[in-house]
Amino acid sequence: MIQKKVCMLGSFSVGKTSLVRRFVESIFSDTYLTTVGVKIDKKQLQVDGKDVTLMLRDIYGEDEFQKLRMSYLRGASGFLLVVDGTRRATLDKALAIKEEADKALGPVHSVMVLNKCDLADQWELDPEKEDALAGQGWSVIRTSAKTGQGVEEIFTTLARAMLHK
Amino acid sequence: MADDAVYESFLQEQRLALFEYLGEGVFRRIGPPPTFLTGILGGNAATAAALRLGESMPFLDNFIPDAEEFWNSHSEGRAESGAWVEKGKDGSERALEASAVWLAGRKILLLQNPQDRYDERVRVLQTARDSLLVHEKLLREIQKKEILLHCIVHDLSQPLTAIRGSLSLLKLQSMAPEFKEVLEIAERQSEKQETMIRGILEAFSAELAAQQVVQSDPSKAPDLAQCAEKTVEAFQTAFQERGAQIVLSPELDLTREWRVKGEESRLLRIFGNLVENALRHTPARSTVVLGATTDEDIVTGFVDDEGPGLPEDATATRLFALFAKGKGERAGKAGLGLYFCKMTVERWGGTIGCENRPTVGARFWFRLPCAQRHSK
Repeated sequence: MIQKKVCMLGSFSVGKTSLVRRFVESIFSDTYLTTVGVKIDKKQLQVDGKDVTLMLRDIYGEDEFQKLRMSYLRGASGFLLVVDGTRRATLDKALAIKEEADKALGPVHSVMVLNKCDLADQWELDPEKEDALAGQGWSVIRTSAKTGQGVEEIFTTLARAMLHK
Repeated sequence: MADDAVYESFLQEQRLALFEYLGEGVFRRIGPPPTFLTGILGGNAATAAALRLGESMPFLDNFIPDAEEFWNSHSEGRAESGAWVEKGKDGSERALEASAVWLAGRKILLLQNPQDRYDERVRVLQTARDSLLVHEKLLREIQKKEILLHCIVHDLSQPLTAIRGSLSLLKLQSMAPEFKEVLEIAERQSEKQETMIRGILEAFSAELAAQQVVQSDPSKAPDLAQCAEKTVEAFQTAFQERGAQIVLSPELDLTREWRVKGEESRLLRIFGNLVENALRHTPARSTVVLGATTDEDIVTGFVDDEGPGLPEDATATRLFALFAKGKGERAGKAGLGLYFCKMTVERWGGTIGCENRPTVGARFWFRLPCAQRHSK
């Protein structure tokens, strides 16, 4: 059985925990419950005929109250950088976290997750910006932990990238 | 109770488990397993003599290299893992924290379940982050409002421009004096309308502008006395037309600097609004005086008039409130000028107020923190 560690990274309240819960337990709640510390979940999936176990590290969102420890990212094979599409600033934060992680650990397979795409009327990210990120080599996927859109896809895409390094 | 029993009770009460590190990821439990450990690992694992804790608790697996580094460096203090949530064999989720320490010359791992402390931290952070989200949402609403206002102003102003242009053209035509008078009324009212629209925009724009960075370099901070001087110059004509005067206080020392926290254009606007207010209540052949005083780290700017003074029922709170208007014909600008002054001064950490003068008229004043004090 292939096992890969994946870290969920991003600002607070972008939907990291909701994405994990949707993926692992197929449930969603509208109530925002802040994450303190780290929570680890496991999920098995099949990617290109191979059985893979993803060890998902749901890490608290970095803000002025809690700074991200780079040691939490140690041993990770992939990152899901989660952005709240209704809060423009969370994209800048995600990019800053990735830059810091690259410096500390070297490049790691990553997928940029633009979450809360069900909130179309509150969306703040320009399509041009999304295209620009894709042009820079990012895998950019819109998701909604609420509806489930794109959730399987982000984990499958990342797992495929980790397997075929 | 024997000492061992007291010690075991202590560990149970503290929800603390001790392990000695034997190397290569293997730990030896010291003392009986506390209840929380049994819940996490299951009965057999919890009582086992040697444990690979990293295999049972993946988060700990990540911490062990840090712990090893700490033990190998023989440092003082401890290495801490930070909090994580572990789902135990019993199905319950528990908050855990681990620390690596040296005790009695041995490499010891402390594993604790500080649930109460963790729950309290969650409560505090939840409140803090909920407040941050509300704040972010309010800022977005304000920005939307600003954009809407700009659109409204633009749409409202356009017909006025055409109206004023048409009225100007009409004035060039020959017409009976009574029609000329009507035309002049129409011109004055459309000018007033334009001023009001601009005033509304400025008042609401000030809310966002106040979030702009205030000049932090003292050498570039605005000089209150210079702003007073410029205001006096700007209003000379308006006062002459009223048959009144506007002057600087003779006691104002212009040889020194009067730098205050703020931004020059808005400081000029503050003085301007206070002077406009004074002008409305200034009778002919009277004088409005602008000046400043200082007291340690505070500079006070003031505008003194020789008008009728503040009504008995007037309070600073009411006068400076949004859309507050004075009584009578001379109430102006939809009650925005003084509100703008209050908002701006308070954003800069100052205060604003008014009072009747001992002899005649009123004084409107504002106090701002000093940016720098020294002579030129």
